[in-house]
Amino acid sequence: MKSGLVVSSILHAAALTWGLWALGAPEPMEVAAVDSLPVELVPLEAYSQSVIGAEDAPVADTPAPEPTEASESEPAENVGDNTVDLPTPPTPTERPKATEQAAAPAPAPAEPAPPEPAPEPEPAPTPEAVPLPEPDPQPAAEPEPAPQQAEPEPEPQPQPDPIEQAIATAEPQPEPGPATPPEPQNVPVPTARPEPPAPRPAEMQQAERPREPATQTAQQESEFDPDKIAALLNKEKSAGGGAQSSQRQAALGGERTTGGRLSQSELDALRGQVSRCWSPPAGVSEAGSLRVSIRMQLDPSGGLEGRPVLVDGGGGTPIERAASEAALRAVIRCAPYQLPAEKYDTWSEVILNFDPQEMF
Amino acid sequence: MDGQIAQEALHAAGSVSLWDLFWQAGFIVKLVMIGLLAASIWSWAIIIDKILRYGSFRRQLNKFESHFWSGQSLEELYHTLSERRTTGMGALFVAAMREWKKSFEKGARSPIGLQARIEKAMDVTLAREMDSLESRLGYLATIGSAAPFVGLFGTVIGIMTSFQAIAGSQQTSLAVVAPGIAEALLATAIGLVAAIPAVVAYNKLSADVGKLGMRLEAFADEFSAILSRQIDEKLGQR
Repeated sequence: MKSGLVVSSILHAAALTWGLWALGAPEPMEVAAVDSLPVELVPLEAYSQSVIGAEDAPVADTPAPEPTEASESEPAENVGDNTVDLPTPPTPTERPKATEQAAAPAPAPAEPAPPEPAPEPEPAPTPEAVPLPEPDPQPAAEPEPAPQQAEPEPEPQPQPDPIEQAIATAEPQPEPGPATPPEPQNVPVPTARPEPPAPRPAEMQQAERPREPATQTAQQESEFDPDKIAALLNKEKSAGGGAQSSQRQAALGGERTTGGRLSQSELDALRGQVSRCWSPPAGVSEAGSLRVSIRMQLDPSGGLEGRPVLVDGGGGTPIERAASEAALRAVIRCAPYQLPAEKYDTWSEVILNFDPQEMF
Repeated sequence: MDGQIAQEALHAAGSVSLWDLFWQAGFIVKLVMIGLLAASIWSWAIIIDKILRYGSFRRQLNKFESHFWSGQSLEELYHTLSERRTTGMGALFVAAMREWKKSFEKGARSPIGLQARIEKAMDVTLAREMDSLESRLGYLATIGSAAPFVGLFGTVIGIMTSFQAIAGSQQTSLAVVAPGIAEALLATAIGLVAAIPAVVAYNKLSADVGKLGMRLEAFADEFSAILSRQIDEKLGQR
């Protein structure tokens, strides 16, 4: 037995020593160093509220949407731009203004051009009767009786002349012509040139012919210049309209700005508006149990949208029910609330807490 | 961050070799481990002793049988064997022959009484021999069945204390939990190391003892039959 014990002890000692060496310390598992994960504790509001901006933009202090892109001008070939297509480009921006304001002076050089009618009227007012019949027997007879009586008579005769002239030159002629009765008026009215006066030409010519027939016809001719049609068109560059453009760098944000909150003074204002109409149940011992919460939805004008809903309170005892009824009545009676319209997002739905305890 | 904590915990816990695990264990767990180690040493001592002893016992049986059946006279065999301490079949033979000689020297008359006495003497010797063969086999059985439970006890205690420490340290990182559980599991490991050889050896050794006992009983029956014939012959001569 002793030998067995000795042998056993020796065997165990040997096994333990071997175990200490062989099974000693297993290689520690290679754990890759994990970078610490940054965790930020942010209030929930950061998610429920967003400011305007772009989704893929970096965070910036001031919210800004994506910069507005200016619309590109299209290639000239496709549109037919004179400045590009013509070998001798007109000076476009200068001319319209010049011609518009020069509408009055323009007739001056044009007057000499049609000298034929001019001599006719001139002699008319003058008593010279002799030279008249020579050039034109018809006009000669006109001037003499014309001034007072013979208006209807001369009309048919001179009429064909201007009409023929007008037809000969161009049909559009009469339209601009009559629009400008006297010279001085003509200057400020260039913009009023359009058609409305179109029906008038016959009457006007009839009525005014005797006074200044020569100048009128001259104007009629000078007014119309087919080459200047372009000048008559409105060349003012279009401006205005569209949304306000953003020039700043885009900041991280949503499509529109939500969130925000009513300021304390605005809250006070709302509270005051509601409490004006509120008559809390008086003479109740435990006012704490009469707390009532009411949720109401408002339209942008401040009026109630739908019926206000009782969120909390108003159950159980008749007194509590009375308190909730009083609160509901107050909310409905004060209905159009004065609140800042630009913050409608924040007060589109409001929960009001009525607490009689704070009243006393 | 987590990795850093693990690193720090590892440095704080030191290395994780078996020796460190043992020394970091609590008092009860240490006691359990030491006890299990002693049980393992003891069981291996018994195993080695028994294997050697059964081997020599079997060789003695073979040698005695070859002597006994070699045609040698019983008297001569008795003289050679009675001069030294004998075990196994030799002891049976000597006990039976001694009773036989005593009875005839005193002039025993009844063959039935002599037969009964010889068988009694051989039974007593056989029982004594079997007792010495089976001695300490019970330890192996006990160690084999109890060591795993003892080790489990140490493990439970170790895990319990380590969890208590974790609850106190307010940290649940695996690096904090691991050393305590590892050192607690060491107790179960030692328990199994002690129990498995004990169970296997117990089964083998008890089977060996059974075979040796059968051979001894067979010899006792055979020798008692031979002596009975001798008694009849001797009484018939008178």
